[in-house]
Amino acid sequence: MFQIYLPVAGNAVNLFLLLGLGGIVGLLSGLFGVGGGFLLTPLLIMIGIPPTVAAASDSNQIVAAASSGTVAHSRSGNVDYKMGVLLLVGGVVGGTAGVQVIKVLLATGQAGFAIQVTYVVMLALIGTYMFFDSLRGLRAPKVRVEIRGEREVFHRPSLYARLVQSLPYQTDFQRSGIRVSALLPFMLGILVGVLAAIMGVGGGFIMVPVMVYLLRMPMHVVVGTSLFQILFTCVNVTILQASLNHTVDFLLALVLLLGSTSGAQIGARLSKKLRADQLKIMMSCIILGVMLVMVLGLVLPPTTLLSYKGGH
Amino acid sequence: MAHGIFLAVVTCCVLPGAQTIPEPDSVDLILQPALAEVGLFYGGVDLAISAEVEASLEIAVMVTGPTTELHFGKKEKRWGVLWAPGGDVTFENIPCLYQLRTTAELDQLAPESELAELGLGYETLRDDLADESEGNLFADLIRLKESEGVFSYAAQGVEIEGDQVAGQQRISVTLHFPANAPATLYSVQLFGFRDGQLAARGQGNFELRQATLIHFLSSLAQEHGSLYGFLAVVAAVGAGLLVGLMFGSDKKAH
Repeated sequence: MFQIYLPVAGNAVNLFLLLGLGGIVGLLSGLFGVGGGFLLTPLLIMIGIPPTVAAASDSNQIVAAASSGTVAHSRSGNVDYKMGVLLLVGGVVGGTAGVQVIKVLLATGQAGFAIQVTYVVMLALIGTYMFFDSLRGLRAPKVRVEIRGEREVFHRPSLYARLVQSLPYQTDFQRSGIRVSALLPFMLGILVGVLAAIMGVGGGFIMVPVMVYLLRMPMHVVVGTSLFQILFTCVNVTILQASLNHTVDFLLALVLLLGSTSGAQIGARLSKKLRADQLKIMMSCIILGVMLVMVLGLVLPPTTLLSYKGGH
Repeated sequence: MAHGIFLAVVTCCVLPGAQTIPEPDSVDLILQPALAEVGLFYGGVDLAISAEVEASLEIAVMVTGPTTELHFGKKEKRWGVLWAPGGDVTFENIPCLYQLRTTAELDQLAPESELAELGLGYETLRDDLADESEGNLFADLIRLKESEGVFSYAAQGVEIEGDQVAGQQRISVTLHFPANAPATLYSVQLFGFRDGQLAARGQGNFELRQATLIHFLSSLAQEHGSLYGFLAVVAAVGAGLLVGLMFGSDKKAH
């Protein structure tokens, strides 16, 4: 009942289940500026979609959710296009380098293990740091003046801050309200691109913490800018997957995007009503949850030793 | 002519003990439906197979799809506690669908050699695997395929319908083709055994065919991947912007 047949996946799935999954992932996308691929792809595999088709079609639907989310955030002035373009260019360079790293790992037969361990370590580091940082922010009073005795204490800039300030091409990013070297987002884009290529994901959940903690961008601008960057990454992945591997199922993406575009809009509106620390703590919980599921998958004996090739 | 008679005489003299194995009787199969269309709202199909057979026979009904090579990743234990992707494993000549129903356990139907020759039983699909550990993976493959609904075996899975008429009995089998069974031509075979010997045989075909829209999308994806990808992106961006505008205009209205 209410089954829809997906021609490239070669399977039928309940229409409302797909709409619901799309809606949930779209909501996360609008709220946190992540593509949601790290969450949706495993869910699609669980309901019987082949891994390669799940990953490729997921990219296709993220294009829709990211377009919708970018429009919504852009309308509120929350997209830093200059920053987004620099991160994107760095991401493309890093992604290309990451693909070469994967080739070397594949040749040594260590790719699968390396990917899973990198994934878990990254999720654990990002999730834990984000969780405790936002918890500190939530507990702290809104206006913080550090007084010791009668005198205000001036902190010496950290090594990272001094390093950032010493880089050439200092540029104003008005939307983000920061002044940093144009090289910094480019280099961070490369770093995220390498990791995203190795881990086989869009990289939104790495990019968001990078923008918050390393670029010191305000959370609401981070979400919109991340979506803008994800849009282009996923357009590229969709076309490559469709032309090289023939694994994009448009009907699957269409049903998912009907749910996700609406979810992204609701998420974007909801994000404006929440404090940055509340958003960060929610996202860190999701990241730690995904990490926990992956750790269980690594530790618990599998029901079958075989896994279909491809996917995240 | 004289040469042929001579050969026949020599054969009879040289092989006095040789017995001619009688050809199995032919059985007509009725398939309902013989063709099913995979459309937009297709969710699988039931295939009913029926036939008139000699009442004393043990029966096996087998449906198989075309064979293919299957590539899997193999999970291996690392550092004593972690199960992680390891090497690859390939299985050759595995049918895309294999469903078997019998009136008795396989070993009661016919000797192993006969079962192997007819392809009856999962064991007949086992290829010459390189080592014993991969032999264990064959059991995993069967479990995986059974969980997907494309492999199944049931002894006593053949229904006997009504009473015998002149030593003949009507039998029927209903098999479910899940939605993930590929659109292709399937071979339907019936085997009747008497005292471990093949005594009756029937064959038919069941076709799963893609409907026009599904065929169009599938062909476009396979044969014109770049165009398909471009159209998928345009449609996704269009849908995203449309929903964005709808929500935006809704906001203005309020």
